[in-house]
Amino acid sequence: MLENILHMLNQFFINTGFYLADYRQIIMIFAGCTFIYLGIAKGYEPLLLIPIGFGILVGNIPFFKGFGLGLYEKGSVLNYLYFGVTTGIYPSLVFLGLGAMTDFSSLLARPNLMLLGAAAQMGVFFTLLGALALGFLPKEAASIAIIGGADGPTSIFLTAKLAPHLIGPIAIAAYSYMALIPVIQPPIMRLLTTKKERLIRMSTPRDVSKRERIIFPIVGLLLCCFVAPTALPLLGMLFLGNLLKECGETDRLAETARNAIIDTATIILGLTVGASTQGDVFLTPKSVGIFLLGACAFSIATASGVIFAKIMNLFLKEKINPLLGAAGVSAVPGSAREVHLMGREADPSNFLLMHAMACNSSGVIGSAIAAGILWSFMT
Amino acid sequence: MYGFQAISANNGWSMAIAGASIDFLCLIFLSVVISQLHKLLAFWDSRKKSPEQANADEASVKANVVRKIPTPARFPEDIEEAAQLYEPLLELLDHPFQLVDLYKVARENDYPHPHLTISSFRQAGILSAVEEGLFSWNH
Amino acid sequence: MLREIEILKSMALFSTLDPDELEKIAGLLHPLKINKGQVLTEEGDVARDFFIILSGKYKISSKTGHEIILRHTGDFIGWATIIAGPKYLGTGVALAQGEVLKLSGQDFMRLLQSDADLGNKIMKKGSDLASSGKPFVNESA
Repeated sequence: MLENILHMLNQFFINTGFYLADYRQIIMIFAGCTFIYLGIAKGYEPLLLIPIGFGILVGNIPFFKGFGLGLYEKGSVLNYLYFGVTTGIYPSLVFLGLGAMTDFSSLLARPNLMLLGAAAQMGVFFTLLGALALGFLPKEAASIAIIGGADGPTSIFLTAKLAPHLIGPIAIAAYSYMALIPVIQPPIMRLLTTKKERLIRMSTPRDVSKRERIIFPIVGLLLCCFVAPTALPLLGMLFLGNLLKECGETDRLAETARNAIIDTATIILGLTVGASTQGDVFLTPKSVGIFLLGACAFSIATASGVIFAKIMNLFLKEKINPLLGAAGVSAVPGSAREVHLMGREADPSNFLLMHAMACNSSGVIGSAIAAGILWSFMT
Repeated sequence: MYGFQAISANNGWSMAIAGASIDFLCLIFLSVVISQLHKLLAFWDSRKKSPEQANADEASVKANVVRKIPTPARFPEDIEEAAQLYEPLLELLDHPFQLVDLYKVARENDYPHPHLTISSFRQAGILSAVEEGLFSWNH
Repeated sequence: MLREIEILKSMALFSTLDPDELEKIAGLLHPLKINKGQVLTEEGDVARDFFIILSGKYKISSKTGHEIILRHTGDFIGWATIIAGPKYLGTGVALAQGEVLKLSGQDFMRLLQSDADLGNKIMKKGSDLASSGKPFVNESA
């Protein structure tokens, strides 16, 4: 009897996490806790870091494979939830919500700011070269390069299509760097601009009519997707969300898109992406390379935007504050806020926030187009 | 394979140059189109109107201005008084009507806090739903 | 909500907004009861929320030794959230029991993202107030 009890206890114990844990899972659990700490205590992008951090904890709880528990085990709950990541459903839903919450008026009033969003995408293509040079396969290199677009859903979408085995490290890198924008961008902006340039004031934008705001998503969809049809899942949803918002006849749908839908997609996306970063996949030299390239991607994107703004000023009568170039990365509204703060550092009465948001919006469109272009090159 | 050799072997240079150019050109094209959009819309509006039509529109605008319901000087807190002030707006609407139309005419006539007031009318039973999306006035 | 709209209308920063726009901001405000000694903002912490005073007495102090007392309805704490910077510029403590209206910085940024007209008006007013030397940024947290 005692032997039976001991045998059962032993059987139970060898199926517990304590017995099955290896050091990589422990490291990842610490990483997950760090993400949660940064999100709650420090306030760094809590809407992203908390679900991702918790997902890391969930994904690194050791268990006996074959019980149908893990993310990669067919038929498990997490596996079903992860389906939305691998098929690109969640990123598309996030873009729907993003379109429904964005007012493109500032961009429509000053369309030349769109070029700053385009310039910031140079970070993507420079990083593509860097990743190839480091020995990554072309599809892997394209997935890593899109981190330079500074857009989490876009990074996940493209990686799911081209290099699904890298979703974990690429998503973590993309979201980590988005949270670290206050650390990455200011030194680059300071280095590349003079005090005089940072003092440039932007004029008040013209009024944009409701008709323009309604026509823009339709024109934007047709133009961008005729050029890059592979951007359709992202841009199609972005522009649909925007049309729902602007037309005035579907306020209920727009409200749902920018609240319930985007929040639901964000929670499940964060949780499952975090859970996909399992220690044996994540703690590899490749991941280190991805993180290094991600930092380069962000930095080059910021620098490209700022430098392009300075080049534009050589030809423009009404100068643009070159800080706005840094907002061409599509990390909304984090990078817009950093640009605004740097502008106020130079001149406390210079409020660049809304102009920076216009550049941010064009960055979202630019990064989705870049993803579509890379996808079509690779297939 | 690493370095420049790897880039060349995988057509990296072509992809980077072509990709960056396509992205740039697409956004340049979009920005050019939207920069002309408001001018195109203004041209379309002016083209649609003949001189007689333009005069008729002006007269209609003037008539509308004369017919505009005066904004109440003080908006009452009492729901019954507020309902009485809304009576003139209802004459501009079909019956039953959509809430969005009532909201629109209240805004056009500078009535303060239309969302809040209409919501109060619903709670007080002054506005009630008759069928899907349509409401009637019970005052 | 009427009370919140009236208070917002009385604040210089929101004085150029039309009733609809004030309603949108008022919809984001949450009333909060504050106890004596409660800390609303900590200097150097990430600025997340903005507080409009309804009642009570509050002290804002900074490490530079600068101090102000706020006690009037419509005074605000945590302006850094909205405009000035990522961190609170001072520590705000309640000197007596009171009530405030809390506005989340994240909700406010989302609102600006969805309504460029509103954002432009607030930014323009903010810029005018800052250049006219009004102390709303420098002296409150």
